[in-house]
Amino acid sequence: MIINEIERQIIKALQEVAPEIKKDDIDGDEDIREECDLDSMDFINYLAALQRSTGIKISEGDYSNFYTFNNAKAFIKLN
Amino acid sequence: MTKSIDIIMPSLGADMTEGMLVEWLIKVGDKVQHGDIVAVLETQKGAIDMEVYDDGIIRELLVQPLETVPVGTVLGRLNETGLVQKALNQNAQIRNNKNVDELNVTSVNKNLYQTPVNHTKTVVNKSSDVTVNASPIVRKIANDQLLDLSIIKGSGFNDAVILKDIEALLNQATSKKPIYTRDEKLVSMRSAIATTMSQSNREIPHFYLSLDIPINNAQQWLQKTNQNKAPQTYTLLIAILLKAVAMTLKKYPELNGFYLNERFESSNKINIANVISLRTGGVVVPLIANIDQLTVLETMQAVRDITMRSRSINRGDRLRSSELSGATITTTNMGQIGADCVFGIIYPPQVAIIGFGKVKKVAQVCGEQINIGEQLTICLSADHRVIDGMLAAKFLNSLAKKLQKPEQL
Repeated sequence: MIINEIERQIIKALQEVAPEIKKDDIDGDEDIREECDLDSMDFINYLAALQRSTGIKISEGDYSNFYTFNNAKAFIKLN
Repeated sequence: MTKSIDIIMPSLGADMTEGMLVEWLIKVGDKVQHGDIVAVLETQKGAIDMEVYDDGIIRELLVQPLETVPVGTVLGRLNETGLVQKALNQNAQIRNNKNVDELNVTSVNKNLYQTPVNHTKTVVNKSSDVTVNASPIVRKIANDQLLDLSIIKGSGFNDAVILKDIEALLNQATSKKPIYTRDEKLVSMRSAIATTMSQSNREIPHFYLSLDIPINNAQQWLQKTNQNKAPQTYTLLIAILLKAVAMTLKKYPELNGFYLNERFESSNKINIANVISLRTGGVVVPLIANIDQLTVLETMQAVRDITMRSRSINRGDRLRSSELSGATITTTNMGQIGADCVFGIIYPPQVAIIGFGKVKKVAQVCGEQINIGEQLTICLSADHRVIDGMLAAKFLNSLAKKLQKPEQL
């Protein structure tokens, strides 16, 4: 996936749990749970949405790769 | 003999005074069963699917869509069919006390969404001159807002267009005014919270206890259970906490029930309401019924389900009326962002509320050694008219013990 499309998919998945979030609200290197005010339920629902839309398998050991926007982008690009 | 049964605007808690009938999902002559969803209501707790609690045939519908009526108003009537006398007596008792609605609880795993019955009329849409099958409220909104129903795929009986089919469309159109604006909903919800919490603070003599509980074992069990799990099947600590509370309540029924008419009655069901905060502000407090009979994994599914429906993550999926009344105790969870402890205000007529603080890494003394472990503080606000300090302390210690053996929950 090209970077723009990856970013679009991440934002779309985030918006499923936090509809008001926009790309400009997020600092790519900060913890996305704090940036977007996600609780633990929101976070797993965000990952579930991302898995559905990208088709990339995300298992428990991978969760820490999604703590920041930029790490999530890198992970999806590699997988 | 056929008996007529009223379908009333339900009270979904002590804080609800009125509700708007948004849409009937049935029509006169339809056969309904206990648990069927018959209408959509707009309340101070948001949009709710209203269920019926009796089997029967709809005889008349007395309130029209978009009317706001007080709690207890007769919305319609049904002729009952094949009910045993016992159930009749129980229902009569429940109506006498709108706050204690134990019969109305349903298992979280039971799919109550029956095939929608045909309550719609075929109408000719003015804008397109195409014949469209749609519910009354949809026709009214479509007419007001000049929506072309012929382009919408209906999900009701005979592909009828029902409210949830046009919700997305309505929300997209910024110039269209929804039934309640977001701000109006928030004001209404805040007012409902203010009324109940003020009443509770005024009438219930609260007292407060807390206990720091090591949760190393629970965290290890979760780690093992979640290994290689996809996010859809991931289990959170809250599921263990809720199940442990349910099992502890079996031993301490004095904390599980209702204080009404100056006496306490413990409940034979364990229906735990869990406070869910909404991103738009405010909270909803839906219950999970019979948690003591669910496994930890089933409890997690139930928590996930009510959280998603409370937060309207999938548009059109709403809480049901039975999930907002009849809770026997409440829990509130501060999560990872939150605080060390939280002492809640009891939701009447319940007699206790349990607060979970955030998980912290701490130094734990084990024999002669100090290890790094994890703990959380569990807080209990209790009603002194029913519960004494020692009993509350015993409950917390018993809960702590349960949490040391998560595999047995």
